[in-house]
Amino acid sequence: MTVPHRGTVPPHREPHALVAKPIFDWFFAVGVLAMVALYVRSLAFTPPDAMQGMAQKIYYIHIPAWLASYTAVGITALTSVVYLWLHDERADRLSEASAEIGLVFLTGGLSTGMFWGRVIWGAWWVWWDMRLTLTLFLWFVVAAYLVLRGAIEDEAMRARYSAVLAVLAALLIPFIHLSVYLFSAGMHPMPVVLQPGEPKLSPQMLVTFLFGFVAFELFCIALIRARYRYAVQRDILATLETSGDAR
Amino acid sequence: MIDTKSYMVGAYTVATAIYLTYVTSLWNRARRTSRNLAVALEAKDRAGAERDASRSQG
Repeated sequence: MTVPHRGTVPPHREPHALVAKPIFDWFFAVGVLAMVALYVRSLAFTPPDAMQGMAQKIYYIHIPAWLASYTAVGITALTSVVYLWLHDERADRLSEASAEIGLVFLTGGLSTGMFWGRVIWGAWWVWWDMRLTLTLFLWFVVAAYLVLRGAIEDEAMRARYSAVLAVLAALLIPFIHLSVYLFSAGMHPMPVVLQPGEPKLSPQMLVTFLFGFVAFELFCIALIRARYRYAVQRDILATLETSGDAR
Repeated sequence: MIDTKSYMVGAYTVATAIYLTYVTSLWNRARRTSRNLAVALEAKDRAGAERDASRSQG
C-alpha cells in the first residue's frame, strides 16, 4: 500500500521567499564562533593533564563530538518515528539532514579518539573494546541509512525504509554509553562526567568540557538547520523540474 | 617518551579538516541549488506572465 505524502513542496510558503532565505545564517555564525572559542579556550587557557600531558586536551573535542552525534542520530530517529506516524515529508527531510550531520560528528569522534588511543593505549584501534566497536557499527548503520536513501527512487518507500533503519540505529546509543558497565573487557575508562556523583575533573577542565559540549551542540544544530534548508530548496527545484514549470 | 603534543595537534587538525570539508561541500551544494532554483522560478514566472498575456489578448 502506498501512503500519500504530505507537504511535497511546502504549501505554506512561497518558493520565492525560500530562495531569498540564506542557508547559512546568523545561527550558523554563532555555531562557528562557539567552536573557534572552544579551540582557543581548550588549547590556550586550559592546563594539560598531569598524567596524560597535552594529549588529554583531545577530550574537549572528542566527547562533545560523540554527544553531538548522539543528538543528531537521536533527532533522526525521533523524526523518523514522526514520519512513520504522520507521513509528513518535512519530518523525513529533517531526518535525512540530521543523519548526514550525525555521520560527520561520528567521523570526528572516531578520528580524534584514534589519536588519543595511540597515546594512552599504545594502539590506534582496539577491536575488542566494545565501545569502540559499537561506535564503528553505528557509523556503518548511519552510512547505510544515507546510501539506502540514495538507492530508492520512490519517495514514500525511501522515507519508510530509511525511517525504520534510523530507529534501529538509535537503539545502539544506550548500548554504546553503557558498554563500559556491561562488558568488563575493554580499554575505555568509566565516565568521568556523565555518571552518578561528582564529576572527576578539575573545575577549570570541567568548565572547558561544558563549554565544548555547548559549542558542539550549537554547531550541530546549526549544521542540521542549514542542511534542512538546503533539502527544502533541492526538493522545490526537483518538483519544478518534474512539473515542467521551470522550462 | 611519546610526544603527546604532536598527537594533540594531529587530532585537532584532523577534526578541523573533517568539519571544514563538510561545511565547504554543503556550501557548494547549497549555492548551486539556490542558483538553479532562482533560474527555475524566474522561468516559471515568465511562463505564467506569457500565459496571462496571451489569455488577455485572446
